[in-house]
Amino acid sequence: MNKIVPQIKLETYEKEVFEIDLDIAKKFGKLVPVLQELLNDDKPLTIKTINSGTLKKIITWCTYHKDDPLPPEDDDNKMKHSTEEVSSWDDKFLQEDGQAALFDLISAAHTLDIDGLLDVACKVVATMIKGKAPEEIRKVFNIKNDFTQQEEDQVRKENDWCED
Amino acid sequence: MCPMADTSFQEMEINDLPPEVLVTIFQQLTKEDLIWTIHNVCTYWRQLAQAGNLWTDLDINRLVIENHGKQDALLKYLLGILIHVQYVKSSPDRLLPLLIKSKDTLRNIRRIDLVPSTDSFYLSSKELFKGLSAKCPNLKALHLKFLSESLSVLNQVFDLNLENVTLIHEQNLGNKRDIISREMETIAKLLKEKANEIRNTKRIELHSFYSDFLAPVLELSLSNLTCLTAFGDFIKDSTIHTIIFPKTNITELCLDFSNITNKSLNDIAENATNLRYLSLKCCSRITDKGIAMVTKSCKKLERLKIRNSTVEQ
Repeated sequence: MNKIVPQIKLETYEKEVFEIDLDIAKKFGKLVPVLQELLNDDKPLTIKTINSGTLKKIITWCTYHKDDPLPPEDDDNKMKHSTEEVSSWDDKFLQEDGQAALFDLISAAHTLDIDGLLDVACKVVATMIKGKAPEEIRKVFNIKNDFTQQEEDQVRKENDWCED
Repeated sequence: MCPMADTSFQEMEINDLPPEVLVTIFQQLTKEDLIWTIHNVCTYWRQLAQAGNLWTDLDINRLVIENHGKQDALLKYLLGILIHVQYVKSSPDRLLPLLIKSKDTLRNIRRIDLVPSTDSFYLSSKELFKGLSAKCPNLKALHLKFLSESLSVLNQVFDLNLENVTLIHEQNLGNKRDIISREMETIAKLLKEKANEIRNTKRIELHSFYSDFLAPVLELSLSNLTCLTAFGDFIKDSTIHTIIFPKTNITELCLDFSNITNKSLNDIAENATNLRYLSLKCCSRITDKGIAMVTKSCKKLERLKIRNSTVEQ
């Protein structure tokens, strides 16, 4: 016997409408009160900055983590990010579609205020940065080196010191 | 990544993320990563690597030791972020040059932990405390480990008008006791003279197991004191009498390892009626009777710790 679960409607960049169970949308931090008000509304909430592929991933992540305990409410704990390791499921899930998709997901998690997802995704990106030299980082993330010659020389000088 | 990206759909790149998200990513990195790597990737990252919430606390000793050989560059970097720091851990000799060279008023610094470094610590304590009062107008808490040679810092600590003071005396005196006792007398006198200036102090924590150096601190009339922790056998009935007589606002009192007897407990019962927390661990000279007086008259008491004292539990 299926219980009727309240659902909210979100419209993506591609104008595709998704119906999301409210107990999954509970992950959407600050958005929850807004979404609850829209419960009885037929019109979907349009979020133009999120595309359908990304929203699908968001729903998958929220469904998988549906029963996780909620993070503590106080601000002190919110500032300090948990030191917990990223689970192998999260790691694979976040990286399987490549870098651009990961950044789409992070940006969407930020918009929808999904703390848990933002936290693990930022950890995954941090792991991609750790242990690399600036030049390698520029290569991995396609970042342009925009330092002046003078600034470059300064960096080189500092790095010379560290080989003393 | 595919270099032939479809031009109609813009591929998201790392620098398209909102700056606060990039800072959240950087929060997962070490201070060394920020200083030596993130700082040197591009101008945007260089700017973000100095974001305030990446630098709320700073352990200068650790950074200096672990980045040996790059001191000049480190110092230059630290001067750039010091304005954001709220909580500093450092030895005095490493903090002083930063204070002197910093052009900013370090408004965010609220707490400083001063730990002795290997040698010649506190030789420059006068300059250090001068620097602290000039550059750190909002300093509220000072946590200070000091050795007998640097006793004179006691006097300077109380010039800073702090709310929260922790003093830890960490040294066995051996045969230097006489010289130091005499010095202590001078300092006690100086402290007394400024008793009026230190009325902002709300919370004092004193640790001293080898001497009674810190006793004079407790003889000051700290009328706004709400929280006192004093470890060590320098705490006697007479000390307690001075602190809590007449009526006191003290709500938290920790006198572990002290030499007090029921006489102090009687004083506490009569005067410290706002007490919420009392810890008397390892106090060998108190008895059940004293504890009964306190629990009867301090109605607001929420927590009482008496482990290893001579009280039936």
